[in-house]
Amino acid sequence: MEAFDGIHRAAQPLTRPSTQPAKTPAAPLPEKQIDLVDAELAAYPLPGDTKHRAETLIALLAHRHPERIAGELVIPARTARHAEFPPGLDARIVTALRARGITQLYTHQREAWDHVSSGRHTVVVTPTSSGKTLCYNLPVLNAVAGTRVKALYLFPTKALAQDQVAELLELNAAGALGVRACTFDGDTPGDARRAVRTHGDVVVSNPDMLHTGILPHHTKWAQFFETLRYVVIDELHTYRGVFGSHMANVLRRLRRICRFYGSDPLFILCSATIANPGQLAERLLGEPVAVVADSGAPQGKKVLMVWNPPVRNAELGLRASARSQSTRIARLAVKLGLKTIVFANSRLEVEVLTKYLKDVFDADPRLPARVAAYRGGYLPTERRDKERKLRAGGLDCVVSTSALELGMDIGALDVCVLNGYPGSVAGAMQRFGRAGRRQRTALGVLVASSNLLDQYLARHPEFFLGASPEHARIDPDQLLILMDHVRCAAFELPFRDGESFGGEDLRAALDYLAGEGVVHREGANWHWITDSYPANSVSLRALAEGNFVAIDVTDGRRNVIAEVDYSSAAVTLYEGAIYMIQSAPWQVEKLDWVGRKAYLRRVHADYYTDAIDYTRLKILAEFDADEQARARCAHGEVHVVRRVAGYKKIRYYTHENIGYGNVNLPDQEMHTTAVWWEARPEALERTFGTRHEALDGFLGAAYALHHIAALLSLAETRDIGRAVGDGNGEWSAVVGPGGRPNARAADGTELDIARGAVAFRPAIFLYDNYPGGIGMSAPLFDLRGEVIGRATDLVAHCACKDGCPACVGPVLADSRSRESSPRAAALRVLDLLQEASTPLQQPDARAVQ
Amino acid sequence: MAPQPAATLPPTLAERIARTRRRALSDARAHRTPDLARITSGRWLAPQLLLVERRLPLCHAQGHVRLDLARSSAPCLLESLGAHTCDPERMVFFDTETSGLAGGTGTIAFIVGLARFDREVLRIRQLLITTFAAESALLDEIRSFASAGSCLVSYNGKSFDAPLIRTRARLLRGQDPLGGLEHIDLLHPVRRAFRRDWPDCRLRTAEERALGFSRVDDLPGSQVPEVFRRFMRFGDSAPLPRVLEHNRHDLVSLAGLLYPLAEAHRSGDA
Repeated sequence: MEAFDGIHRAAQPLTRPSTQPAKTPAAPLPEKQIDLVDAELAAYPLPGDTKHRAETLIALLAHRHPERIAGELVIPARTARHAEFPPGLDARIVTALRARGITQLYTHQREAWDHVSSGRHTVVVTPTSSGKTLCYNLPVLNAVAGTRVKALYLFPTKALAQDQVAELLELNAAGALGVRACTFDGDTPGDARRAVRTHGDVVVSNPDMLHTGILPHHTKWAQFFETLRYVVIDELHTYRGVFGSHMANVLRRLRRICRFYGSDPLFILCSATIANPGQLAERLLGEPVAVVADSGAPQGKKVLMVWNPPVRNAELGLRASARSQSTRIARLAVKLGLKTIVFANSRLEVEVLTKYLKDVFDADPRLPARVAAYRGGYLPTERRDKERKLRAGGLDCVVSTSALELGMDIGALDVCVLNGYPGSVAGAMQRFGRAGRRQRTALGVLVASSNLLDQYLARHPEFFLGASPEHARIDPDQLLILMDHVRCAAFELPFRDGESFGGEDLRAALDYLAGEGVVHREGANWHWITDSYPANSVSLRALAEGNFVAIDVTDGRRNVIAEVDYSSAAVTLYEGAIYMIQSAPWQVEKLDWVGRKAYLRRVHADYYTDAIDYTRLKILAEFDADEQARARCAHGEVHVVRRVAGYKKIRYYTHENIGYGNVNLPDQEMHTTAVWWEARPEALERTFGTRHEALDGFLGAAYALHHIAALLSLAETRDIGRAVGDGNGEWSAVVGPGGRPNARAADGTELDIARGAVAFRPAIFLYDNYPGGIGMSAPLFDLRGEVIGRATDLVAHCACKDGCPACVGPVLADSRSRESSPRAAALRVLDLLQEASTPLQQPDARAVQ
Repeated sequence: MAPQPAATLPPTLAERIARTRRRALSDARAHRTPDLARITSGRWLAPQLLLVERRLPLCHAQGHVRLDLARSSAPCLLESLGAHTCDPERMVFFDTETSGLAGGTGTIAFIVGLARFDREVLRIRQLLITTFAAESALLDEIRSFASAGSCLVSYNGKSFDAPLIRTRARLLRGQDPLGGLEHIDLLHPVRRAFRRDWPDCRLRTAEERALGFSRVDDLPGSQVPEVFRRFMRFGDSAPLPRVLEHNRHDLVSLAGLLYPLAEAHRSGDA
């Protein structure tokens, strides 16, 4: 029994993947399939030595299901390249390293040392388990043990910080260096904090703690900052988009405080593979950074595959579920004695996959478990326990969300299965990095789901397996983010005339804050005069307008059961909405928009709800445009108004529409940046018989462009908004209840676009889904050729007939009888727009390295 | 051609901020600053540093506790707190009024109240700054009043007021004027003695319950930061005398609390 991934409207909120009704856990696997796996194995005699078992698995997969392997990449084994210990290295450290069996360095470790000792900020970009941490631990320990200077380590999460302290302490103990390394985070008890501040030589923390706990109290850390010599930032690639833009500003604040105490620390950064590590590091620091990218560490052979589940229904474009395939591959691997990790993209998927695998391998409760789930939401002790078991080899298979994606040390694994594309090439590659040993072959399999991006990658495995990972982009001068940190910085230390902070005019920003009565100018200084602690209201992980909490009021309870970010609250928490948690339905009874609270009651519902929302855009300023005879493409600043007008009730499985409800919520407005494409009216009339047909095409093309744009900008699809409408905010187009496109006026009334009375100049907008924009639109404008080219290719080569969620979005049954299919219409629109988008640009051309 | 852009030039920073943020309505009517020294009966120690001095005879009663009674209880209480070496004459009652209650480097103490028993009076010195530039002089003044050998007496001052002064001194690259002084925080003995019987141990509660003192028309402490902000922003100094009075009450109550705490100790509660 293989479950099908059903067709669902993409408008369902991203905060709750569990809303997808078909993804409820299925019954235990039938016996038949278990036999099938055993039979497949029986045909392949197990090699006696475990060294070649991964090869066996690779051969088995290739032999049994060649048609499912959409692409394959073999990375040959690499031998080690070594370098001598540098002459300046403390003899005690050399002893400690030798005691751990390290008699020389890898070339990249030495290269990093040389850069750092010449006083250059340095970024190290090498694969997982290549001895990256030594690149920073060596110079730091050497300096701290020698001259008692201080170092600050920043990791994106608390868990990673603890791992690092353990490793640092090990080396420290082996060399009797007397270096005190301590973590300082939200879990550090109050009485220990003072000791960390005054005695910690290496303080290990995270950006959020630096932002809210350390910088606003820097006077307590005076001794630390006075002698701060090194700042280490690991997992650099996670600092992109909003988080990265915040991080750049936190670093501006950190360096400002250091200057106050007369120090100017050197930065050592480490990153997983992204296209532009040097550029990202330089954007974060605002200074030149040396790049070390050539790993000298040995690596076993590695095979990466893109695996596409077999087609089950060609007309609808339906394939067997990714879950069924991931389970099968993991079972084969574990039966072959290979240590396996399966990554899923949601907590729910993790639990379901774990159940399927446990049904097979952990059927006997008396034996120790061979399969375990690992995801966020577990208690720290539980996580530590699993990490320990993984390292010690007590587990054969672990199913994880991205919680394990970061550099946690869990030992070497043989096989890594990705159940669905995790949203970025860099993310996928990092997960694949989990499998790989120095002496043996390892296998990584990306199992494509029915999502658009997955299917795109299945058709274009070279995009994924080729050596062109995405660019990480940040916009440190994003206005809202910058202003947030100008406030925090003003709180920490009065600004002085002539000082600068980022690329914008600081004086104008301070004048603005003075106008708001937040700061007060006195002589050449700008003092904080407000009773608030600004860092507490600035979340680094979001451009927060305030999250909503969902409160369960069933039977007089008052428990917070979920948190929903501001941007999706309007489409998920309207009164009457069915809100799903772990596939159980709650209904929203009351929404307190101002108080950011929704009150929910547990219900039994055989339907889910889907918000009907209209997004209108008005162009405020055009920064640049590409004008052609039939079409134009431009980017600039826009005003976005989003209105949730009502919702549909949709019955499970049959997907029939069983009712409507009204929603009365304030319009969501924001200013942001966007890129947009328009076709000239004459060209449009020549190309399409009817306006409805043209709108069909615009909506389908927008769907494809949206996903491709997310793929190219290393963003989640929700980071980018899309809309079809005219640029004056007069009307916007949506797919109507019957699957036909319709246009709505500003007040939500339906317009008859077939008539000539309404100006018909449809445009496709892709906008930064954050107030003020986050810097994605300008690069998308530059890449417009590639965006259109890839979207065209995606729609043109889709396996479906008239259109499906893997190309132009869900297509309802009745549209198949139309004059032309949505897919064909989308292709004609893309062909028109192609003209205003210069030929393929190489993204690498933009990278500064 | 379709949507015509409203403007062709990228907008300026100020315009962009104004667009993305709702601008706060500023009622920047400048208040006429009355002569602060006159309305507070104080005098300028230095430019923008005002001293308001009061001498309260020890026959003054805070609630039902006379100050001479409080003073004579001091040795017993000091002993109970393990501070035998502290001479009652060297006790300095200490309380600040600040621009914020959250703490952190962006909070300033703009009024610092200090008091000590001086023969037959409780001598109260309140220092008020009207500009940030005067802060350095304020810290110097604290240092000269709470000279070496003083013993600070505060309410929650170990957690809030003293670290705040230390932070400000560090920001001005100066020495902590309270550094090295002995410091008795009465919050802790009050908690030990009365926690079981009182709803909370705020100073206001302690005054009412242990001194039988209730303030009339007192400016609540929570409003002090806004008074400061309006003073800085618009020059509105009218509420400042009330803040000073509030601060004086705090200091006198601190002194008064010596008596009930000593009593509690004697009766074995502390």
